[in-house]
Amino acid sequence: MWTDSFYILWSLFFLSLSSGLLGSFLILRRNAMVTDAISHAVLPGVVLAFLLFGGRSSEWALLGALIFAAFCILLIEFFTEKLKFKNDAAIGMVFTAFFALGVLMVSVFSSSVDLDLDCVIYGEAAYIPFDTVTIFKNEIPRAFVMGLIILSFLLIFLTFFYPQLKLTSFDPLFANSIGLSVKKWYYILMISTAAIVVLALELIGVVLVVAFLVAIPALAWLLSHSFRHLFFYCTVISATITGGGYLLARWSDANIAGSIVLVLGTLWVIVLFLGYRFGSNRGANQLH
Amino acid sequence: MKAEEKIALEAHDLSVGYDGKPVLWGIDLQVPVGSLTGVIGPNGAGKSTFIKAIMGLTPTMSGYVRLFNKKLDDVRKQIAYVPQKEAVDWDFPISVTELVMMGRFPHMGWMKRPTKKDREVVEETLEKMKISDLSTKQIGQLSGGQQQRAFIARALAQEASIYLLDEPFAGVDANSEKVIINLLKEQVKEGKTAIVVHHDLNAVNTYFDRLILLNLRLVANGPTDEVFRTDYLKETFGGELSLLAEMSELLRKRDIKQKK
Repeated sequence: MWTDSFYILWSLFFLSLSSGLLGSFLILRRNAMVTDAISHAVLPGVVLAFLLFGGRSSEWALLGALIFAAFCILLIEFFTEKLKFKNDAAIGMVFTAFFALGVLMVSVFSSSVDLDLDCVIYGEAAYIPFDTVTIFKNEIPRAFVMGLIILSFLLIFLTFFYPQLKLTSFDPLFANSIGLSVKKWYYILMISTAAIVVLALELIGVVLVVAFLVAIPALAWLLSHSFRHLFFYCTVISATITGGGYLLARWSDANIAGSIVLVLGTLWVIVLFLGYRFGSNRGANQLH
Repeated sequence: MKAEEKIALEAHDLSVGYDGKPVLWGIDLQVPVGSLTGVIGPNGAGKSTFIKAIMGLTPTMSGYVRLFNKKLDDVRKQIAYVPQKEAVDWDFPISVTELVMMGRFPHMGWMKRPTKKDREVVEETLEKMKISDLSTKQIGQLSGGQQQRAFIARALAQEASIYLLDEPFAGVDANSEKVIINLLKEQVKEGKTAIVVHHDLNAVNTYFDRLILLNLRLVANGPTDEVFRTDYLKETFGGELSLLAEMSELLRKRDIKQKK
């Protein structure tokens, strides 16, 4: 039982920290809506991978998700740039269509696909310990391994390309003017988002992953004046909500993902209240 | 324009439009190296679009822009751009130093890690713009004038040949305005070129040695004492609102003819 809790907590922490770090750039670029879209649009890709390659092979699910995420982004771009749709309308149309396709596929092939619709939508982190891979003769939960890999990749990626991400997010015109492709970095960020969503799909579901990708960095942003602070607070918030949420879920015997996001929401209220009271953060400055 | 003067900027028959609607129409002009040029015109005259078109960031309908007699992509590193204040996300979590360091980007290697020289240049430019004491502040915590000076410092750190500034004096205190204009004059003396979008007619004749009068099309381009005249200004600012509609109409007729 103790090791189960250990793996569940760490898997969720890896996921929320990855989401927070990546999400920091997404909210600063005002791409929160696209994030929401991608989290839903990857579903057909995941189902297809399960259908074709069977079992629970994360690699193929990841590949399928990336393909459909790319497809979704390009389609949104086609609608806005070529057909002159408003951006939010294009996003709304494209991702719901993709998600509908995914839902249909799950329900039609439910007998042959080891993927449960409830699980996709709500997530079930309590199942983490039951799906394992064998590494050096040890049975280790797949989500834990995947989370660790994704977080490590992201940290390496950020270490190397932080300057480019910062510049293209802050001042796209300037970046373009000196020949740094804003679009290229946008694509890279979106593809990374898709990778995180694949992991999130089984743990917290497609709806609440948006809270991880948007609400965590947005709360950290309220408290920060520099990227260093932003990343630091993302870490603190991730640790707090996974720990707090897990305890809440165990105590009330409820869904873990829902509990975590509830704790996150409570944290928001506390931060806004304290900020308003003592004027110590940006949200407070806006309210005053 | 004298024959021996080198050309910094040349626009030839430049038309820019969004969704088939022209925002700039048939701009033909040259700006010599070492000039401080003001771009003057009413709201919606396409001044910002003109600046963006120089950098190749707008959909061009016809014509071309050349800088220093070269194609844009060959001289990108020579352009220092200062955006309009409204276009900046002032809540972005970066400090003044980080902002100015962005100007060193074109000089950095593949890894984009600042060298000792980059740090020195940043420090010098901060000193020059008199904002060294604010270097660790987040950009949103500065006053309007300080913010503008920070952006000019970034442009300066680029060590570029041509400055493109979009309304650098909007919402800026008198002291900052003085610091900025003096710096630009100094840079121009050193052989740099500056093209500045200016929002009103105040101080135009003391600030700029050349003017571009713009209202969807080019009204006048030349030395300030030659083109800063009532008739040109009237043409630029007065009664020209219907022009855009006329242009769209012309364009539409031309398209119909071509189809026939």
